Amino acid sequence: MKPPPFAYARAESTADVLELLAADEDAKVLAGGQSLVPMLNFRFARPSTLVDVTYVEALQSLERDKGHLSIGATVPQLVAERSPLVGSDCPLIAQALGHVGHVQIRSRGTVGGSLAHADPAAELPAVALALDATLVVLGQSGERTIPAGEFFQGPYMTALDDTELLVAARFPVLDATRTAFVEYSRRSGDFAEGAVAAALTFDGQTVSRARLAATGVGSGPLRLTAAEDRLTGKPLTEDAVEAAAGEVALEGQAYDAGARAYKTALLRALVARSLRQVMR
Amino acid sequence: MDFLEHQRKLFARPGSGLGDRRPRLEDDRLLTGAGRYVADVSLPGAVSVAFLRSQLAHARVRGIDTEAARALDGVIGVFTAEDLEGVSPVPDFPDPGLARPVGAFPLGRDRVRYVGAPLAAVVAVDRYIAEDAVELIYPDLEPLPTVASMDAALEPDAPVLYDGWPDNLVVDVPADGDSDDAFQRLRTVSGSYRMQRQGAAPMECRGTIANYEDDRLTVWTSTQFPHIARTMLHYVLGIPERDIRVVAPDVGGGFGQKSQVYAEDYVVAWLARHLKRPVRWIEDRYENLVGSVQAREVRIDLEAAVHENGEIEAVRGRIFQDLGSAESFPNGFNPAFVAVGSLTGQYRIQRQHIHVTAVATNKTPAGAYRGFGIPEGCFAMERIVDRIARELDIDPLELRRRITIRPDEVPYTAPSGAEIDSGSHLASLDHVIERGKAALEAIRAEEHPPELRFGLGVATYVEGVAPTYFGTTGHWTAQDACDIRFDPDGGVTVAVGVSAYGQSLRTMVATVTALELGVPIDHVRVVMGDTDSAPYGLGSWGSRSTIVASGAIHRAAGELKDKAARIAAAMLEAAPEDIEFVDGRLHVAGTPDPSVSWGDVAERALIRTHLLPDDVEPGLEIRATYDPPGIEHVPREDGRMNACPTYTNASHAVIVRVDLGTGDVSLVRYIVAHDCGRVLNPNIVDGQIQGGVAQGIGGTLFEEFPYDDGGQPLATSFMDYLIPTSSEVPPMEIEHFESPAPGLPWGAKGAGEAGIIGPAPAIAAGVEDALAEFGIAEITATPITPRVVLEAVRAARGAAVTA
Amino acid sequence: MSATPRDVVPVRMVVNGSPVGGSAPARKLLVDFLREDLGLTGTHAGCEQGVCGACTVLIDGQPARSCITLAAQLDGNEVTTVEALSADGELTPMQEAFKQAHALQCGFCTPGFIMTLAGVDPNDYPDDTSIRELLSGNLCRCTGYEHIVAAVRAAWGRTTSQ
Repeated sequence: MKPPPFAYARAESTADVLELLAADEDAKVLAGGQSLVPMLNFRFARPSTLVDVTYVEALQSLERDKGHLSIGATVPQLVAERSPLVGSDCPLIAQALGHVGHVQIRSRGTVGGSLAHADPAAELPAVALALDATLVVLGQSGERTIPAGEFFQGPYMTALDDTELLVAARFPVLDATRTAFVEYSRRSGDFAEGAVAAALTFDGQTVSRARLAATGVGSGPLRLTAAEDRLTGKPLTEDAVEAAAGEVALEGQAYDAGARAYKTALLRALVARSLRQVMR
Repeated sequence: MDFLEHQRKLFARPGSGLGDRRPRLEDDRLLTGAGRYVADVSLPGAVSVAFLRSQLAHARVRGIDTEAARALDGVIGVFTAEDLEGVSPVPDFPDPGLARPVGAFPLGRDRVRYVGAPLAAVVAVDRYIAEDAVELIYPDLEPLPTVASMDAALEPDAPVLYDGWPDNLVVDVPADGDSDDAFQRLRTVSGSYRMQRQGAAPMECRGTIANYEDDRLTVWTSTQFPHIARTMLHYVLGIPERDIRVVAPDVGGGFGQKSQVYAEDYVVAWLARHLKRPVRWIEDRYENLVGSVQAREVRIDLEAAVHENGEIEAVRGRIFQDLGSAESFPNGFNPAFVAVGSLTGQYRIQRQHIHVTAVATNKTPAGAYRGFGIPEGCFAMERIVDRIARELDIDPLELRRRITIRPDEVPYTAPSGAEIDSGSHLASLDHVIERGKAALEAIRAEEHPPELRFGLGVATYVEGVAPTYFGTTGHWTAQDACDIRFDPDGGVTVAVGVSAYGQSLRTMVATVTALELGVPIDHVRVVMGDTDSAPYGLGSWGSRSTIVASGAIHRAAGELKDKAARIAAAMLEAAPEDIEFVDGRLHVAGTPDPSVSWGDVAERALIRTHLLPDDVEPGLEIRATYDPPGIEHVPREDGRMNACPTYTNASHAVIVRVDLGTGDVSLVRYIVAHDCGRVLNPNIVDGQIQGGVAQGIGGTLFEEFPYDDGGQPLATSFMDYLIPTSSEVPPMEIEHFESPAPGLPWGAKGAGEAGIIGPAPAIAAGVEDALAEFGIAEITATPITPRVVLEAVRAARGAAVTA
Repeated sequence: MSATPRDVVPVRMVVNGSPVGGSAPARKLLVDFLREDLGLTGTHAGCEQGVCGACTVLIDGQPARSCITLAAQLDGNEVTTVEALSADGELTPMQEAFKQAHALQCGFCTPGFIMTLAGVDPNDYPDDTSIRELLSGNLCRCTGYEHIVAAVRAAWGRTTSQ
């Protein structure tokens, strides 16, 4: 359980990062390391160089930016969780972060690290999907933005290419929106057995826009569009909750019959609970 | 011999502190980071070992290419089985008529039989480089067909793990006699119960550090039994025991997993002697989860012959145990026999006939884990009692009361031959039923979300403690020993053969010694865990330590006090039989003044010996051994056997909350009525029970070592092997009942293992109770995962619809 | 530029109040650096998988897992280990509460619990449920947690379970 040999480079600027990643195709970005270092200890990951990006100031901002909350990639999860700005602008993020590992993990783990690692049972990718976040990415040819729906491409796979750096995640600040994050894990602090991030925008009593995303129930974060459709344009009633939960299915996921039945039942229960929380 | 009067005097003594919640002597060091565990033993020039382990579950070893690994910078050497000159296979002590010998060799020679089996050892300047080198070793392994489960091992055409064996049965002992008459006459209730593979997972993994200096081998190892480890090193390495010193430093938990001697221990010791330098190997968590013994994997098929009032006349059936590769010392099969020996618990059952079968599979070897067969047997017994209650439409708690032995039936001989000497069987059961019902009622009266259900589950058991080790080892029996030595200043050093790994033995030994001798506890120094300074003893396992240590100390103290009385009598010009021991001083009965201190006596015995009476020899020290009374080491003709000097009992009740949405089972409250005889320090006994219950909860709801069909282990990290956290373990309340063991000097029965026995059957019953409205959602196996719960609900609903 | 990849890196941190300088292989885990290079063996490696919490130390006052942190990642940060808490020979109130409540048995996990508790604000954990959730990042295999929760309650001046 000791890491294989690698070199360590401390980047001071995003330019440093890009240069180091371009120079060595086996180089890998290191942020808090809370997912990467365990993988190194198991020798599952074998980078030639780790590029530490936590000293790059440009990645450390947390600010309101034209209708968006922008969270720099290396903002520690604990800092985001406790940020008043996050609490007021995007409370769903704080609700979800409370479920990420334990306090010892969140103190070092970063928002960007969790998104870029794309664990199929991680909380933040589901939040990004539910809020329609945009991922800001810097590469050799400059900056580009990737919608969350295109960013997550499978277990531990994202749209980032090897020479690119995740700079920030931009979450839209939604008016008249109520959110809930409901998770079931076997033990306190574990990755989700299943979790649902819900963000419902209301026009009076009517749900004008419903966003539901799940994690822990497949190869990555999942939008639950059929359930969303059931909710949109109607008041959020107990009947609507039941109907939306009933739409949940996991056909595309690689489960055996027993696991599929369990995960589906679990997800339906979690969808219903998240919506009831929104109702309250 | 009856010690009840001695016990009464001890416990009634003013200021004894017995029965009080006193802090421990161990804690200041451990709280401040000053503990010294094996990984903290730092020797100049030490080199580190990492092992190449088989990644195939079953393979023939054709060769191992170590060249590239040897060439790596920082590597001192790479060693395979053929390098281990002078090393013998680990002896198989049990009668070959009982258990087939496996002849395990420390490193894989011709075959490997599980993923994780050590094939080669790298020695390097540090562990990082040793692990780099392991990746450069290329073993040439020819895959063999794999036996990945107990059922597969029993197939008639199953691949066979050992050359020359006709099948995979390590042990196969048919039942003695039968009760066919009862089964013909009475209603038969039957069931098949399974418990999954699980393990101890101590927070400190294993580790061994060895040094060869001045023609002598010193081995620091995280073990529960240093003397047995020394003897095994002698057998396997061929070194005289006097030339080996084994030290157990602070040990970070054991729970049975460290009452085994492992391949790595022999190899590291051999390497230190071969290389003539300190060699260290600290097991990592991956190694611990694939290479250290696992336990509990059984199926118990049970039938009960039952009267219509629920009384059980006889039980019969068969236990199957999965031993993994069986390459462990001690061999892993004895829990199956202990499950049988303890099966009927506190129930009035006249006869039992259980066939014991233990099979080899291509999985990590089985070995000891807290509870050692009793949790397995208790689960099956308690589950079938619940089924009997259902079939006869009797309340399961009332049925338990009805079939529990009454006070006037104790002492009671169980059908296994266990002589249950004392206990509070019915009273403890009544206590938890009353408390459990009240707790359930209170919870149900609160408002809850509609998807939650609550239930009450109860389980009882009897646990034999301080057993013979012959059934487990086929070699050692039950004795232990102590040395008590006075210094001229009156200070006492007591050295014991038991060995600590968290159970507070230092506090226990100091307390017992101080009170037996009548000296202040801060005059007592305790020595244990070092074969150079402690007398030969069998270490700590089987809830034995308090019993055997207090037994030996009681004998030693008696002799020392006799001698001290003779010396003091001469000093006080009195008769020895008139000398009394009070608060560290000796005086003539009824005359507190003049008096002499233990120091005065010791000074005369050790320094100013010319003043001793003519018939008193110099010296004030003694060794005493202790063999727990009433034990049989092998079964009698009829298969019966009393393996233990005394038996504890307990009843558990749990309030279970089932979430119909997620399938989650969580525990709201846990109630234990526990009787381990005299309680020296309730804090410590509570801690033992709470820790055992938490582990039992883990084994019931979370922990599992699954394997795929190819024998690949699927839980190889703490992300997959889920030991419970503080959020999954409920608040507990514990009530101590105290039925002293009449045959033991201190009347204390040992509390190390009890807590882990009750949770599985209690929680299973609680889940069934919570789901009762849906019909019969029967739980016959552990772990009770969320998926199992939802499937049970669905099955029960389906059955209710068809019915 | 300073961002040159190196196999051996300079290590700078302030450990238990004293500046520590030196170098270490890039891959050296903080727990190994503390234990092997500085001889601070009170920090224990229980899993090296970031799960068990036995290796918990404070980094800049926050509880962190030293088994999944590289020594190289720190640059002048304050690291606090269990040895610092009772440097004057007196147990801290939390350590004393652990002793009085019998909240430790083998003691291997104990420094990790103590360090987690040393790095949090009791007001963030107002009841037993939240205390248990906080402690769930530290595994204990001996105690069943009951006495640990009781010790925390006592040290934080809470008289009854809630």
